[in-house]
Amino acid sequence: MPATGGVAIRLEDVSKIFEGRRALDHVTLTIEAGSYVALMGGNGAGKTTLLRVIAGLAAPTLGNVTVAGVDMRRAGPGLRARIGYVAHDTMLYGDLTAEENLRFHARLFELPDPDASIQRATDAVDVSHALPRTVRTLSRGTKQRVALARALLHEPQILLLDEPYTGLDEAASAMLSAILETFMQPDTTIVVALHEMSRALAGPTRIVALDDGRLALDRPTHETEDIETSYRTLLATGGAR
Amino acid sequence: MTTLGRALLIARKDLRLEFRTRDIVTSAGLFALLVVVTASFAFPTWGRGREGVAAGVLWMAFLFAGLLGIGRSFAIEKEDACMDGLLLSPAGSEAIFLGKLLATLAFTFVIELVTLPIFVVLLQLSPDGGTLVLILTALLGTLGLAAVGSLFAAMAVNTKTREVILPLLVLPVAVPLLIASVEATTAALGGHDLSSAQPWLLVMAAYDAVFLLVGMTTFRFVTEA
Repeated sequence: MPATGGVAIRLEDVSKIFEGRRALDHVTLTIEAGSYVALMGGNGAGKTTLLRVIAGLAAPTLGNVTVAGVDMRRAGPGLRARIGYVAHDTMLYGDLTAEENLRFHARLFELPDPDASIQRATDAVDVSHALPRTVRTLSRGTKQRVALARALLHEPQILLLDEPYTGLDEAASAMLSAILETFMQPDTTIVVALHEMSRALAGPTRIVALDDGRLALDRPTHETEDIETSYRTLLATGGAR
Repeated sequence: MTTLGRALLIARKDLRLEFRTRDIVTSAGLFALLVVVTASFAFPTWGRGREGVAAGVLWMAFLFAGLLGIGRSFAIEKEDACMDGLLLSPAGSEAIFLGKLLATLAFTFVIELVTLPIFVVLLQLSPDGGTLVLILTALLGTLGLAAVGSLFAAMAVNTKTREVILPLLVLPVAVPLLIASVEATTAALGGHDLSSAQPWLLVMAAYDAVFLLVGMTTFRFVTEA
C-alpha cells in the first residue's frame, strides 16, 4: 500500500500547541503497514490529539505528518478514503436512522454499491438489526458499533480508534477485539488508544505510550513484563507531576 | 462526484434532518413572523418614507432569523462531532461549506416566502413594478447572509457562547450587504424598476462573490482544531 516502503504513518518532530499548552511535544514515530499499535497514556497525555493529527483533523503546529507516503498538509480525497476513524463521539446524526447515516457516508465516499457496503459493514459488527432505528434511540454500545460500521464502510487501510471500548459491556468488547483481529491484514494498520494495559497486551503487537505529550515508551508487546513495569513507572511519574 | 454534487448531498442531509425535526424553520420562522407582525402595528401604513422603514424591519427579521437557522445548522454538526465525520470524508471543505450554505439558503427562502407576503399585506405596500427587484434582492441578500453566516458559524460553533458570538462576528461584516439590501428593497417596495436598484444589486452580487470565494478557500482552516 504505502509508497514509502512499508511505512503507513510517519510523524517527524511533531508538536501541537493548544492555547499555550503543548498537547504533543516533539513526537517522532514511524508505524509500518501491517502494525497493530496500542497507544497508551493517562488522561491528557495527548492520545486523542495524536490520532486527530494522523487523521488530518488537526494540523501540527510544528513537524511533519506523512500517511501512506502523503504529506497530510496535501491530503486529498484519495488519502482520506484510506483512513477510518472511530472517536469518542460517534459522528452520527442523532435524528437520522443508522441506515440513513451509513448511506450518507457511503455516498460521500462514493462507494460503488452502498447497499452491499452497508450490509458488509453492519454484518461485521453485528448491528444490522439497528439499521431502521433512529440513532438517538440506540444504546451507547449499539451506537458505538454503528460508529465502527461507519468507519469500516469504505474498507480503510488505516484504522484509528480512540478508546473504542469505553461504554461497551464484556460481550461487545470481546466482539470489538475479534473485529479488530479480523481487520488486521498485511496491508492494514490499526492504531488504538487505550487505557487498560490488559487490552493493549491482548491484540496489539506494539505499545506506544505518551506522557504529557511526549513519546515515553515504544516497545513490542512480547516484552510483556518489561512493558508493564515501565508503564507503571511512567504513570507513577506522570501522576507525581 | 463534483464538488457541487457532494455539496448537494450534504444539503439534502440537512434538509432531511430539518424535515424530521423542524427545529430551524419553526424557531427562525416564528421569530421572523413575530418581528414583521409587531412592526406592522408599530409603524404607520401611510406617508412618505414608510418603504424605507419597512425595508429595514424586513432585513432585520431576515438577518436574525437567518442567524438563528445557521447557528442551529452548525450546532447539529457539533453534536457527536458530526463535522469531523464530514471532514474525514473525501467531500472536501469546499463541498462542506457549499452544502451548509445551500441548506441555509433553502431554510431562509422558506421563511422569506412565508414572511414577505404577510408583511406586504399588513403594511399595505404595493411593490407592483418592483416585484422583480424584490425577488432579486431577496436572492442576493440571502445568499450573502448565508455565505458570511456559514463561514463565521463554523468558527463560533467551537466556542461556549456560540449564540452570542455569531451575531457579533457577522453583523459588522454584513453591514455593506445590509445597507445594499435595504436600499434595493426600499426601491422595490416603492414600485421602482430594475434600473433604480441596479447599483445596489451590483454591490450585493460583488459581496456575495467575495464571501463565496473566501468561504470556500478558508473553511478548511476555520474548521481545523
